[in-house]
Amino acid sequence: MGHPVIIGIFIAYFAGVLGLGYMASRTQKNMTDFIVAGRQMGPILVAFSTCATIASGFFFVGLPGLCYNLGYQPLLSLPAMNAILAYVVVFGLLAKPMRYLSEKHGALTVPDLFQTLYENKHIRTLCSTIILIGIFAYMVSQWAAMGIMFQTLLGSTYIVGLLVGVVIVGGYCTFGGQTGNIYNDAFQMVVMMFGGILVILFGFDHVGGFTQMNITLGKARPELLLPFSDTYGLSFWTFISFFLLYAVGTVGQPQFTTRFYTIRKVDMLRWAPAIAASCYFVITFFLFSGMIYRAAVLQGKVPALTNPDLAVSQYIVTFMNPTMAGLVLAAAVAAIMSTVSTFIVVAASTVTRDILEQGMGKKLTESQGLWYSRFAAIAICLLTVLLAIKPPDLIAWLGNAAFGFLSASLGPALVAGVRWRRANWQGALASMFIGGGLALVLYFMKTAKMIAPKLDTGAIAFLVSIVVMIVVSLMTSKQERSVLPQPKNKKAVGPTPASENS
Amino acid sequence: MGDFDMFGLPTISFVMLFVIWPLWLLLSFLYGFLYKEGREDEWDIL
Repeated sequence: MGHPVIIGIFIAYFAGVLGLGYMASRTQKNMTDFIVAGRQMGPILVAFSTCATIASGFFFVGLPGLCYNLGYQPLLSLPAMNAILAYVVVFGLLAKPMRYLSEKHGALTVPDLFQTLYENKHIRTLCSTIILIGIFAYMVSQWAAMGIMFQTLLGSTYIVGLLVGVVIVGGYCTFGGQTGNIYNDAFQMVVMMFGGILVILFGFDHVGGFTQMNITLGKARPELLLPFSDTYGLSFWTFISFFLLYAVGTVGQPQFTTRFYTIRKVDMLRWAPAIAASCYFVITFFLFSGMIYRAAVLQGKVPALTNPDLAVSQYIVTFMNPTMAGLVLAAAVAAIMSTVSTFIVVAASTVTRDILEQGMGKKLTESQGLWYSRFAAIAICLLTVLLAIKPPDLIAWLGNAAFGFLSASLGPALVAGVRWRRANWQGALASMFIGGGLALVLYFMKTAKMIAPKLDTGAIAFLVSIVVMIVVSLMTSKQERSVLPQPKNKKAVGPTPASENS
Repeated sequence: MGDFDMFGLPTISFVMLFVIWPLWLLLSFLYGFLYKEGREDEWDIL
């Protein structure tokens, strides 16, 4: 059983999370409330929420595990150099058009928007399928991360950890919908930033300071101090892959982009990237925990880990007093919960809105729409928890694969849809089908050791998807897409004004 | 290497950690400063 103080902090934290879920549930009246929070969120809530969603179990458990193994390489290759750019890239390319089009055409989900942009039903079906596959894989990795955290720190079994997680997150998402999700994301973001600051303030003291940690790591293996290396750890090509996937490919992540639907006014998006990137900057400090623990191992202060995914939890148990441990642990669990909760809402809205209502033509009243969404959320939680009972070893890579799959499938078609007039439904369909298919095929071939590409499989699929989008659109007939703004220099068609005739 | 000056880090990592990383953060603020408020139904399209 875990320390009573840690358990006490957790009970208080869970009570806060469920309380916010309850508050949000009182605002839920229909499917629009459930899926896009009634389009009533402010910029700070949206910014905190996008950041909390991207900072997942992959970030708080998988990445410190990788930092334990590979030193600075994961930190510099991923959040510091590449992922932080996503806030400018994704907001810059998609925020304004997505927010405007979603309200103008009543789009509640990403598949909704795809149909609006390309006026093609097959695209909606394909998009819904892609989202469900990607989200299921991602959710399995999140539940697994949560099970591991509870296993070590509360002294529970992995299965009990999963069940506690599903009851709490499933509870506030099912009843609070997107509003509950965003309120909780913001709360959890604050907890995460607090955890990141605690690591940076007190963590280095355990290994003789920041410089001493670096010297210890460098003496053991000089490659641990580099951003990439040809001889050990992540290669230069992995760095490039992370740029493609996490700086640019985030455009294909529905859990991120659907946040744009929820903001009250388009212009409120102005400072959201800066707020989100600042939050992300602070929580990245958390990754130093993996390196600190590795330095402590090398200095003979703690035993080596058998499973690198335990780096964060062991760091907390070993180096922190129960109060701080409880707070930092809450930050790690918050990261997982905030991501998985968004996936639950996105998957539930895809099932209800895109498959049941739009795909199968089922007419739903406002109240039915809300309740169907809630039932879908429960079903998705149960299914993914079942799949998470036996997860793969390094959960970082499962999360990475799901991220690549979504980027390759949806990213190019979505950006081209709002930013390129020549894009058409044939190009989008081909890009989504080939990008998604290739990401899956290459991932399984790599897992089966049939291929060993230098670039990440998701990044290869993402590049191919971009090329397919462009080539197929140019090779097929132009589609007049009336949803896009008219060109500024286009002359008005119609009768000549009277003043010109006189 | 200049270990003392650069906290025991090689130059490339030092530059990435203490120069480029904060620079990327500033880029997101630049987005806010350059943002043009105006008509919601207009945006740049190729």
